[in-house]
Amino acid sequence: MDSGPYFEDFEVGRTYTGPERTLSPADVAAFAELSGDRHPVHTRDEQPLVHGPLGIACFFGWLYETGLGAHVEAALDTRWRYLAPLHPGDRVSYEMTITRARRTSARVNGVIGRHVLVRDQRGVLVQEGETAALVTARDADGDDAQRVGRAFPGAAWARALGERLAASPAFTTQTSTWDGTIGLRFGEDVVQFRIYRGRVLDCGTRTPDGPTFVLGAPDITWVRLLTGPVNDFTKRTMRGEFTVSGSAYEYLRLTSALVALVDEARALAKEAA
Amino acid sequence: MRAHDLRVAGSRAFVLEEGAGTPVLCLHTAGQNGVQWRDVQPELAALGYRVVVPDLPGHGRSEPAPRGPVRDLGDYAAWCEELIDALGMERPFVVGCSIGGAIALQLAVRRGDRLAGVVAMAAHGGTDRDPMLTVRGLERELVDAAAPSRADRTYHGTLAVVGANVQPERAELIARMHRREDPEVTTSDLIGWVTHDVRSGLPGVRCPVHLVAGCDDLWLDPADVRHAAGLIPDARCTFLEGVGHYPMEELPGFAATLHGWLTDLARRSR
Repeated sequence: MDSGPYFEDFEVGRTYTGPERTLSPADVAAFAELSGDRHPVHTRDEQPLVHGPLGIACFFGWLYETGLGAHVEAALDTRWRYLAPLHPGDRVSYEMTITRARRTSARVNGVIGRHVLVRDQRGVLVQEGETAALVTARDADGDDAQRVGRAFPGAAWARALGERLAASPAFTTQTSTWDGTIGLRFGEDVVQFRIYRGRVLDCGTRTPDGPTFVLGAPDITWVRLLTGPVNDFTKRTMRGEFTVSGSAYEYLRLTSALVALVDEARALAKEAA
Repeated sequence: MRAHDLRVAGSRAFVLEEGAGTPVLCLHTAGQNGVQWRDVQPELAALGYRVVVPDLPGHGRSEPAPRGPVRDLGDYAAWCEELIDALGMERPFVVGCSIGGAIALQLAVRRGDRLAGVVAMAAHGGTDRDPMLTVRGLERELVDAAAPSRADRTYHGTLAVVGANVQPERAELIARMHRREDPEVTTSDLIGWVTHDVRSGLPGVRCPVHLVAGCDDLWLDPADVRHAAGLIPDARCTFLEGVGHYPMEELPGFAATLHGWLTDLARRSR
């Protein structure tokens, strides 16, 4: 198969949609037989429920049908939440956003992070999940430097952002009396920026004393923040989309510095677009 | 324009008055002051109103309330009643935003029969169904040493709730003005917001009421506003596209819009 996207074609922030798919009573019955999950909630006559995992299975079917999975070598993980019930006859649609793209050390392929929203025919969000895959690269010698701006939360991205922060008057002024380490958590992965009086001393996954505080969110939240139309960081914090661990005092103290950091990370992501 | 320096509820109050005609009392938001109405006041006065804009106690140029920062919006409502009587405002309209809107609704409950009508913006008379604020969190915020970068947070927090239609320079001005607060007073105001609830009195309101909310107002759940509108007899309810938490500061020509709402209220007033 030569058609379909390779590793390099999946730009972080890009969203894919496609046609609806009906989950028919026959589909649900067949899934019950195949999986062995013939629990009465799926097989009763009154208001049976579609198996949640059928929503996942059909996502992979959707990937195949749309050709988006053409160069997938392996699925790596799947985390999924069932938010609202589906009933036989409902129609689901998938919206997939690329949240990560990291070339492997072998260079012939890369890991792509994908966030998935599943809606029913009324537009209700019924399932949400993340799933990563290993995808073949078009060119093992390809230049990844141009994509570093969206390669968060990798080490190269952290270094590139650290350079921008050091050159940002807004950031260096707001941290000019500060001594500490900012941690940013993407899903489960934390990157750290060691700051001393406005200077960025170090950036990466480890610092000797660890982070003063960690600002965290799921990958999709960071993607929307860093590749969306405006810097709406404050709105997102007000809506509770971010969590903070460590020193809440120092986090609040850096309110303006973090707005400046997001400005720089957004500018960096724009360079990679 | 005329400035009043008078005693209300035991402390000196600063009030700006402009125009002659139907009296209108305009109430500001938490921690802010009458300056939020500086564009609206002369324009509304020119449309035939006596526009009275107080700084609530502890805000702007008004002295603090005798017992310190106010945590009960009912105290502000009682203060407004005394002010209305002291200035001889006969059957006034009351227009307020956020805690000002909540105070306006309290006045509707307390003395609706003596009001021409109420425009309550960014308010719904009770506890938020999905609260973004808690008394505990606000109590913590009152300990100044535990509340760093307050001015920056007010600045960015204001920018976050200004509507999408507001020009960047205007949004910047609004946010810069809002930084000039006393955090103790603002936080106490917000405790008043979190704890106030006059919804049980809304079905008995005896003046026409118009509830107004901006579609971009993160502080407000539209369902709360619709619910309150359902409780008040014959209430109007308007959602403004591209507007956030501060319609009177955000909307150019707000006075003309308000004039339309007041004209409608007057038509329905007993």
